[in-house]
Amino acid sequence: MTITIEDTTAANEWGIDEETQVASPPPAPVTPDEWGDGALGLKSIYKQLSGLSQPDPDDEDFVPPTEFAMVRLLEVVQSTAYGMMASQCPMPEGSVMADYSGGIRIEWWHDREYCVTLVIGHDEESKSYVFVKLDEGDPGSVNERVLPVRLASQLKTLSEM
Amino acid sequence: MSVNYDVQVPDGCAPAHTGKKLIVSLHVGTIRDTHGDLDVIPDFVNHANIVGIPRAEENAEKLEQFAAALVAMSRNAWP
Repeated sequence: MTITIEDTTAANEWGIDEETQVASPPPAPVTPDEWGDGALGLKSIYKQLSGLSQPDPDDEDFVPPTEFAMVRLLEVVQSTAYGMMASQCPMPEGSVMADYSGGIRIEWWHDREYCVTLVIGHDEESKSYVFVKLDEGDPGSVNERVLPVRLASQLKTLSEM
Repeated sequence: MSVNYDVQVPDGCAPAHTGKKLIVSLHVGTIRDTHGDLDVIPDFVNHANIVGIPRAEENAEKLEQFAAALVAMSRNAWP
């Protein structure tokens, strides 16, 4: 049986083999398990994030992250991590914490001298940024444009120190 | 930023927090000498505040620079 494909755009999205005319479903999303060791850093971040949704009984000032902060952070971290893993550079393990305003911080450190910090604010109006301190003697700088590609490059630099 | 001084480690540090994972020590003179904007002001017995750190809304870059500098000058005290 021959199938005539009129809309090649739709066909390409579904991965239809032009020769056999057999449609394949789009590839399943890549899960951290599929990346093996390369995903340990991302798995650690997921685990810490899930812990933030519970109130801290020892900390009366603790404010759990807002849904906005969680969703935005996951978008950034996943894009960054998958981009890094596709380049055979696993995302390093970071420390995840609430910022006492409903936002979230992740800090990646090398020794006590060099760091990359991702901050996602509690809503669209609050500040989100990346702080980078990667050069000796440099006090560090903030960039309020949070770009996964740039963050991946900075984390790669930190990992290779 | 809240700090304790002249206390037993670890129980005297942030005594209300039972899930402590790490305690570090800082030298007051180093804080004051390294960053003129920062000071350490006692307010209660065995408790002080590191003052001069801006809020993120005021100056995020300064906040993060101070935080990174405090980490760099800190030393592990416990465990």
